[in-house]
Amino acid sequence: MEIISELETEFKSEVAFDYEFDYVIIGSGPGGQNSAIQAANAGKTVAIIDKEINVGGHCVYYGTIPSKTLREAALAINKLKKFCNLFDFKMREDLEVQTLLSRLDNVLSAHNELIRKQLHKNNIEIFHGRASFIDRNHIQIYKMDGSKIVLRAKFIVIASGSSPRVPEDIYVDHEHILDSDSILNLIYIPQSLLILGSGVIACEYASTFALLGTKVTILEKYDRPLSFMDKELTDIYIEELESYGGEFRGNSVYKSVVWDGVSEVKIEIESNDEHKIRETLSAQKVLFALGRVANLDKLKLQNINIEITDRNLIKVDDNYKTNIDNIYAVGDVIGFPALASTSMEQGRLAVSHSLGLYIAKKFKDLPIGIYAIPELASIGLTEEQANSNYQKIYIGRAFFDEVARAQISGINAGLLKIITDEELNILGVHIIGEDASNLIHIGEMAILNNNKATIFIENIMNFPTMAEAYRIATLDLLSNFKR
Amino acid sequence: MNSNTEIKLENNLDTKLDLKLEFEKLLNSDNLKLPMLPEVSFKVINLINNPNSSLNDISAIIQQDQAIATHILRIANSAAFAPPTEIVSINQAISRLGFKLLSEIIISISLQLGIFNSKIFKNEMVYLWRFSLLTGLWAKRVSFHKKYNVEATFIGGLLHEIGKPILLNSLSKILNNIEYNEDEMNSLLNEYHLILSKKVMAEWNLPKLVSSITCNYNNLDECVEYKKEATIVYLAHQLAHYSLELHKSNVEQNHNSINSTNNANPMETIITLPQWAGLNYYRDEVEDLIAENDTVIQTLNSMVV
Repeated sequence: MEIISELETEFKSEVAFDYEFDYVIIGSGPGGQNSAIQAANAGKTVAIIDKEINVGGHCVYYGTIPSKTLREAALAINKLKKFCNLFDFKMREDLEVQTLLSRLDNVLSAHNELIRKQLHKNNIEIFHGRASFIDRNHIQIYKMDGSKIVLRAKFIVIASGSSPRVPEDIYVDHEHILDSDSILNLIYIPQSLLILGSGVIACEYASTFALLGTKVTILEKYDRPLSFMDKELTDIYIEELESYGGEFRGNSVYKSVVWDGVSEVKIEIESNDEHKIRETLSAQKVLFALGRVANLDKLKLQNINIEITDRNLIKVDDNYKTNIDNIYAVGDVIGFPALASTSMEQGRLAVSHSLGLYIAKKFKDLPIGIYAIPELASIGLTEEQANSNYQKIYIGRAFFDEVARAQISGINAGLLKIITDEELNILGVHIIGEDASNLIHIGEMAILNNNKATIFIENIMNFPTMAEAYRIATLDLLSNFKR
Repeated sequence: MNSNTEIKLENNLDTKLDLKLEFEKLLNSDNLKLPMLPEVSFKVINLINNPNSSLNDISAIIQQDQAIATHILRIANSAAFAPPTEIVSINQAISRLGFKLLSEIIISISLQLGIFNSKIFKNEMVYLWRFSLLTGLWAKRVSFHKKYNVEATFIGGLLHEIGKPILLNSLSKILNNIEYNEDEMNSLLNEYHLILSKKVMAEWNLPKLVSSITCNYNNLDECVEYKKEATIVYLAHQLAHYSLELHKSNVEQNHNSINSTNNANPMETIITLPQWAGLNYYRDEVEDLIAENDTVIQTLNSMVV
């Protein structure tokens, strides 16, 4: 990359400060880390502030890593269950959630150490405390003991992440009515769980708990879960969820959620149609998974008059710059897609822009990975989007029961779907099935390199591998093409 | 420990030596009989940890124990739960209090009647009981604000010094003719109760989480498993001390703040405990937590038999 120029900012006020840096990054999650490292690599002095003890980001510690650890435990148990008869093995009825998460502390501690080392290696200073703006160049840090220090910076990147959204009319007691932070502190696996919402977090927990034996019901306002994914994939997700006892109830709007004071939480729902039929459901636990809200409340953004959207997100331009010249925002605080992977790239691009670096190409197609059981992954246009944007499209499918490796591994459910235009340019790849989140990157590389779908049959892939699904899907697509 | 003890106090070096000796003899004796966990508590703890349990199971336990049934009715009618109408039946009380709270109350009552009960050390037992219950209640509050599990930490707090009443009960069998110094007794109880707690935890076969809290809350550096929960109980223990001291001071000083009567500021001592950092509690969050003291004391008073 070629350095064109460096934006200069002037300090507008004379606030007393304790330390001065070129860059101050608020939040040490994926977006914050990458921002900090990018600036440090350019020879800048960098500080990173996090309110949590561990670096790495709240979402990583309370979401990404714990939920995946629980998911792995559920999958392992499911595999063992298949061999129950063979090994005279019986599941404990009082299995504790904490037992399933026994590896979690080690995983989290290793993650914290790794990130800390990485930041130190790049001479990035870490501050533990809550950050708030004094003005566009000065950040106050409220430390745990109540003392305060002030940092001065030329550039500031806000990457303070998000927290579970909870409607004001519901009291989340973290005992019977939970959010996505507190659900992992359950002692035992609940008998029944009602999940409000059907986004990524909801669907991941739904399938994990259903596989662990909980009677799970997802309640969603619209007619299907994960509305941004290809419909064919979400249909399979629902079938799979139902196959291990779960249920998806679309077109359901909650009206009230109340702990009955005895043993169950009661939810009154209303059908999202002209009939407005009301019904009361109950469950031992309820999980609120109705999205997340940006962590902005402690930042005192009013001191810098930063522009906020009507969804209470920070408004940024194409370069992730806010309406204040020297302040950028990345990750969950700017909204969709709010994924760890995209936040990392946003951090890198934001700092690159502030440094005046030439940016070769901005990412257009984002790979999406959802760690439900089975996994879902996607890149590019869905069938519906492709149909509305192109006159003619072609679709090829590979069902996993046609793939030798899937047969060997006992993976039956799964689909890889390729969508192309008339020239066989790949418009989208959508996968549901084990290891989908890895498998999608083959499709991503093909799209990034403007390959035609035929690349999957004109080149050699190892056999037997799941990658063979690309070849099968392309052959299917070509047969449709000829017809 | 309560300073209003009825036992005659005397600061005597020989007696001091004897008391320490008696403690050690007692703990090393093969004949040391550990009490049973009250059957009711055992049943209820198992119910809490069993997702298949229902309100009917709890109801059955209450119906079998007249003393517990009476106390449940009294608690359900107390100001803390402010019933709109008088609670006159057990089923009414059950629906008023709910499964979890009811479970906690039953465990509390059965422990108080079964273990925190001694004719000789009556006042000491009352103090220990109030202190343990208060620790359990504070543990719930500390957990709640950080979204940790409130069910486990309550029981952990309740049982965290279970070795003390058991030691006192065992000593009451040999102490009839020995005069002792109260401070010395406290010091020895603090020194030895953990050894006994560990033995009791092994004997009672409680969930690993509860026994880990009890055995490690005062030794966090060496705590490997459930360190977060043990830290919560350690902090709840300190908050319980603070609450009782504040209450005592309020009574003695005609409701003046404890802060104005002591040179050392107890609230500041609590706020600056380094263990808060382990749970990522900021100073202003600890201050907000301490402000809940009156509510916690009100709940305590409603639950003490």
